[in-house]
Amino acid sequence: MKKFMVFASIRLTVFCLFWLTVLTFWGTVYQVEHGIYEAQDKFFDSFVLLGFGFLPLPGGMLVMTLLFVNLLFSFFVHYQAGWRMPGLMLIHIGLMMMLLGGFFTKVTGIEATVSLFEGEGRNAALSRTEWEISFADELHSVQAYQAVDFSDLRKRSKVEFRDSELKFKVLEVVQNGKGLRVNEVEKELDVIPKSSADFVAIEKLPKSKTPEDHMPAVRLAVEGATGVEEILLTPRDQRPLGIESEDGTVRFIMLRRKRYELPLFMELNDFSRTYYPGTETPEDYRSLITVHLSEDLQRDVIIKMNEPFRLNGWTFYQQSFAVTDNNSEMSVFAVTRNFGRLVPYWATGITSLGLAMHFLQMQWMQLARRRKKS
Amino acid sequence: MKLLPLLFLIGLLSGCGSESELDLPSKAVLDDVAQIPLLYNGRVMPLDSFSRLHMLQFSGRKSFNDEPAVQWISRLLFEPDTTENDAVFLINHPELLDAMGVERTEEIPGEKKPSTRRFSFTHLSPGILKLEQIAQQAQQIEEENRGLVELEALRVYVNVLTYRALGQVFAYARELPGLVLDNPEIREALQLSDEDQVYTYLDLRIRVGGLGPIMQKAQEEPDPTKWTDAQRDAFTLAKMMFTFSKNLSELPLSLLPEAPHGDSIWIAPMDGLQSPDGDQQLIMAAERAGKLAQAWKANDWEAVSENAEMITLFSRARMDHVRETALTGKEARFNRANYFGKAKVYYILTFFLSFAALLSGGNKLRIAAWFPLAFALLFHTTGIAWRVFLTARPPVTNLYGTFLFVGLICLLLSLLVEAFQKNGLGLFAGSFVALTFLFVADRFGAEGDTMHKVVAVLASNFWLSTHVLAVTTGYAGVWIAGVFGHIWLIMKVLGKNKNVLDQVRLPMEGLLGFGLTFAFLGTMLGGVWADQSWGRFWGWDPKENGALLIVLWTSVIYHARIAGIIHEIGLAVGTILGCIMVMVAWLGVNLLGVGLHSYGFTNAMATGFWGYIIFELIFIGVALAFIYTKKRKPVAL
Repeated sequence: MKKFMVFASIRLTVFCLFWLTVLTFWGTVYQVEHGIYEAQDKFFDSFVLLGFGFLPLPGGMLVMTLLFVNLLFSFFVHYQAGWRMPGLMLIHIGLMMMLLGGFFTKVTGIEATVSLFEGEGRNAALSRTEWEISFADELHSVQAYQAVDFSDLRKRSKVEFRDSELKFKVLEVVQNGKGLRVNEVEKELDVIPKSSADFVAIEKLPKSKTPEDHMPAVRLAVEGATGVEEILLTPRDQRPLGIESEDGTVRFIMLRRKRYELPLFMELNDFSRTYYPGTETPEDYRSLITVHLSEDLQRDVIIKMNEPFRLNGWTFYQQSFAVTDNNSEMSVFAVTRNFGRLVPYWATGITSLGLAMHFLQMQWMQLARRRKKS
Repeated sequence: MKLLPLLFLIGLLSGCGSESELDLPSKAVLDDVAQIPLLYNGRVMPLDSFSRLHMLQFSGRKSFNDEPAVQWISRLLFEPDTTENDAVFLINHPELLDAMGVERTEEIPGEKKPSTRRFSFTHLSPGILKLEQIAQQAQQIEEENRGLVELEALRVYVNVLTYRALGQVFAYARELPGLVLDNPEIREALQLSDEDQVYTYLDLRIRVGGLGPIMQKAQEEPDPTKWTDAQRDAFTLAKMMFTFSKNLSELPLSLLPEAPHGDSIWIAPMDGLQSPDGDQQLIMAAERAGKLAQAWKANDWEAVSENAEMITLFSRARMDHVRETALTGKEARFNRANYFGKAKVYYILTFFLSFAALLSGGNKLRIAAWFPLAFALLFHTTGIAWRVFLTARPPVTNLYGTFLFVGLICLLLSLLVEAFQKNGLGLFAGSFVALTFLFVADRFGAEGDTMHKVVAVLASNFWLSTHVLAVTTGYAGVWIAGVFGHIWLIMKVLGKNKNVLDQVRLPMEGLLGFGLTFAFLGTMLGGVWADQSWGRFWGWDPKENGALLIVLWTSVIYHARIAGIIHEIGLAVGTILGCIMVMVAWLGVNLLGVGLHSYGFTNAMATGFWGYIIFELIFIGVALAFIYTKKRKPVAL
């Protein structure tokens, strides 16, 4: 048991808190050059980070895990007499909840967007940062498709789809790149891959500050009716690529933003925005949508800034809008699903209550001591 | 006989007095003018606020010499010629003057020294063409690549353009230069008497209907060469009036609401006069505005008051659904009351009295310090309360507001310490911090409208009053703990005994706890707001991180103290570093220019921010050096 006592050490707490302070400061400054998402990946979502490119240092995830363990052990080791210090107990319970809630959200949460022009409707949200390879029997299949996450693709790994004899092997995966056409390629190619946009090669691009802007690409080898051939998929393809199987059927494959099916069909009736008079400062923007929950059940909902619409664990926020060249307005909704959404709320309440109780108690005891002394 | 020179002098002085009274509007007249509502920066505000903002924009000051801003702007609007020699254009970089080809100094009548920073329009006039060229070139350069002179040229050029445009707003009520109407037929049609030799656009606009029959007859004759002199003159006059109105349309003084009870579209008086819908009320209000300008020029203050009141009533009646329109008088009074300026004076008094009390240990001085403090507190609180009332928002919608608020909370926390300790320390620390923050707020106030509208995502009173109030209260707690940290270190350097040091340490610890509690609550409520608004509790945004830094750092101090890693000196140094954390969260993250919370931040503020951090680090270094040198033996941190 003694060897576990190190996890209850207050020096470990100081280390974790201090290192989190350093990471928070460093990660914030890092954002200026590299953007918020890369800073998040490198400093806060990592177990180990390479400081200055070579020095392995504890990452945010490792420190927060340690802090959680430390809180847990401290709770059992130090607070047997906890009822004398109820504030302290509440603080630690609240913080543990906060860390657990954050972890749960990180693992299970979904963040996506739905963009709609007036009169348009959708029942799926698109991920902002994740991509997938979709595989369908029909060219414009909306419902019947299979998908493989782009993040699961590794070089030389194999990809198969149900009810299909087609076998795919990953030859090249690029996180951010652009397709090149024949006239843009300098070296001679051994094999010209098939692509619906006539791309023949991929040019790697540096990481962008905003991963939403990343355009991934993948080169695959496929065994089809015409033997082994290479195909190249990029988000700029515009249309799926048809591949003929040995049995003569044609299947369609495409690289696209990852889809999340929504528990409703949402249709944008009207989008309006108002500005403070004579300025470009937005005062309000809102969308009037019709939510189709089933064939017979539908209702109108207004989604506006600070007033989202919630349904079965999903939340729809008015995020932004865009105006096209022909003055059509597109409303953009952020869509999230987070079953642990309320955990941080509870954790905030409990920890704050604990802090208030603890410091009031401390001050009270301090004053009592001074009175006694005087 | 001996009294004759004296009588002469009295006569001369009284003559001067009466003349100056004739020239200048009384306070009551200015009050009427000051409260005229107009639309600027997306909100309805009184002419007084508009004037202060423009005065600040032009000169970096809230008034011109001793002349209130509203009076100077009124002169610019109603008789612009009288302002041309006023040195109001602030130029921070003399190189710009060189580039413009004008002198670096300007002799100001009545001033001993020539002006080197503020210049009149007359002084700058020869270089304005050059200024325009420099500004246009600067416009071509990308914003981040513009040098100081280019930035200055753009700023000054905008000011000159605004000055010129404002001077033209009431041109329609002034004499039209070079217009001669000597055709008797035209004069008769316009009902001009022999005395009428000076014409304004407004006069003609009212009477122009009289030209109708002449013009109608002219239209019956397709060949203009066969027109009579009167017909030709009528057409020339109509054309001149059209050109005049076109040139002076959409000037930057949105004085009149266009539609009754409708959208907040406010237009300049000249545009009101041309109302395309023939809105008679609007046209009459524009005429009133013109008469106001004429009355001002004629020093007819009674007419000025009457017309100003009528315009105010017109706008309020039309915009009765817009709350601010009814409050312009109150806002003008609030501006004039200068609560924060008065609070500063009393804080200075409190500071010196409490400092003297601390030095002498005198109880009478300490008690005496409470009197100015009571007034300072009253003015400070009243000022914030007025701002809340006028904006209908919590007091923390911008950096200016947060400094006012945090200053007040710091003061209240210090008074709590004073209530327990009764040694003058709370009075001293509180008055010092409140005073400093009021001065810093002034710096932010000089950047523009401090009661501006907030963007859509911030337009939530619930979250502004929970998250922002909580987190700024946390700033206050940690900051004032840091102030006590400074005092503790100074006392330690001065070799005070443990009892005295404990009187500082105990509140320091308590205030740090208070700061931690509210900083935590505020930070997490920020997460809740973010979750409610755009669906994620935490996104590692710089402002979120800044607030988290305060929470983490104060937690580090507490735990390090419990673990015995740091002792009293470490605690004091830790609280001072806590102040730096507060500044990083409050202002520093704005320097990064990333994330959802990035606001505009000027170079001067950035310099101030870095200057502050360097000062704190030097302070800590020097204090520690003194403490260690004095002891000549290892001291537990």
